[in-house]
Amino acid sequence: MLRRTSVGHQRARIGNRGTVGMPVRSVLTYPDQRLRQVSTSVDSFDEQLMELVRDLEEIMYDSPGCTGIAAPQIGVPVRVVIVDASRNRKPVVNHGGMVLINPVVVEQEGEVIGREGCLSVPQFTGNVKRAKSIKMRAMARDGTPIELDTVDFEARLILHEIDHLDGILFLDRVSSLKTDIFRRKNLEMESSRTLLNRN
Amino acid sequence: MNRNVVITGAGHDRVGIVADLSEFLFNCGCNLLDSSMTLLRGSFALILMAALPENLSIEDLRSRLGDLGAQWNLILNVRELSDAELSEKLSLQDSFIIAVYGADRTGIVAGITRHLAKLNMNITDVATKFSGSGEKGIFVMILEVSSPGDMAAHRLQEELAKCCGEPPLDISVQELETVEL
Repeated sequence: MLRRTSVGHQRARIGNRGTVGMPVRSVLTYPDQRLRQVSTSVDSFDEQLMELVRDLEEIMYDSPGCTGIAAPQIGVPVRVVIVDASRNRKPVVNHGGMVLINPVVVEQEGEVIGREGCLSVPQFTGNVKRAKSIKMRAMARDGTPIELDTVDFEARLILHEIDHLDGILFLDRVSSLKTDIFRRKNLEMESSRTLLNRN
Repeated sequence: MNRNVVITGAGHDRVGIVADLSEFLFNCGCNLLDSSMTLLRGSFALILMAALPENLSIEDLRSRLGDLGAQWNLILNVRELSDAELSEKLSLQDSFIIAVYGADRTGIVAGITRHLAKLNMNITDVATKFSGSGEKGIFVMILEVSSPGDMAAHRLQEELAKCCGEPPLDISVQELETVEL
């Protein structure tokens, strides 16, 4: 229900903006080097910021299956992310639609592999290891502080979007199945030492 | 008309195999598509797809690579790719990463993969490693499979545990859902 209300709300805004003649900003795709810059913190909660948030929401809710977007993905290098884990194909633990300004992950735990796709890298998906659970702090669109604990998909989503704020793409974090397990060097020596210790 | 080939090969490892082969293909005007090349102990193995330029026949490429292979100590095969082989079925099916490990014995791969085939699960990647010797030998296999239906990771794990025989293997199954972020 919440999500539907939210979509309707955004659509109405697109209409309004359309009459003013403002073009909707489009999503940058790799190899656009603007995806590589480190974004700056938000320090004023002004109309410009509200407009940016509206643009991000518009794009996210208009992209099927998209659950999050970061400001640098539309060429605005500031630390603003919006997420909505309730839009995931499968039902997951989630806090619904959120605007996260200056988000910081303060705790991470566990490790899970997931296959990520990204609006800015439409050609590929990749297996990426991320924390299973996180604690995050940010500010809402009106500047009120947010602190939240989340797990699994929503944790991955937030970590992926924060990476965009640091100019990191999931391709930087792909884990290779073939190289995740290494044969130990000097194994013969080690096993004989183990045997000696046991005796 | 576009002609595409797959080149497969293996040979004694040394520095410069990929450079020699890819430089030769580049000089011929070939465009590399997908490839997988890896070192298995002291042997370097490769699978490489390439699009051929108009002025190069498959026969010509095959004979030149045959000569170069002999020189490079690599056995290289060249085969034309059909359109069906070249295209990728984009699937929205869920994938699993399955790790299987335990004391080494024969039949681990056969047992697990036959059971996966019975479940109609398609293997998209597999790598195995054996390390150690005799009774201290440990075998590890990592599989990536795609599932036709809605099987939960824990059910698949139970299914595979049933078929792994004695002594039991450690099997872990992780669901790999593709998420749009």
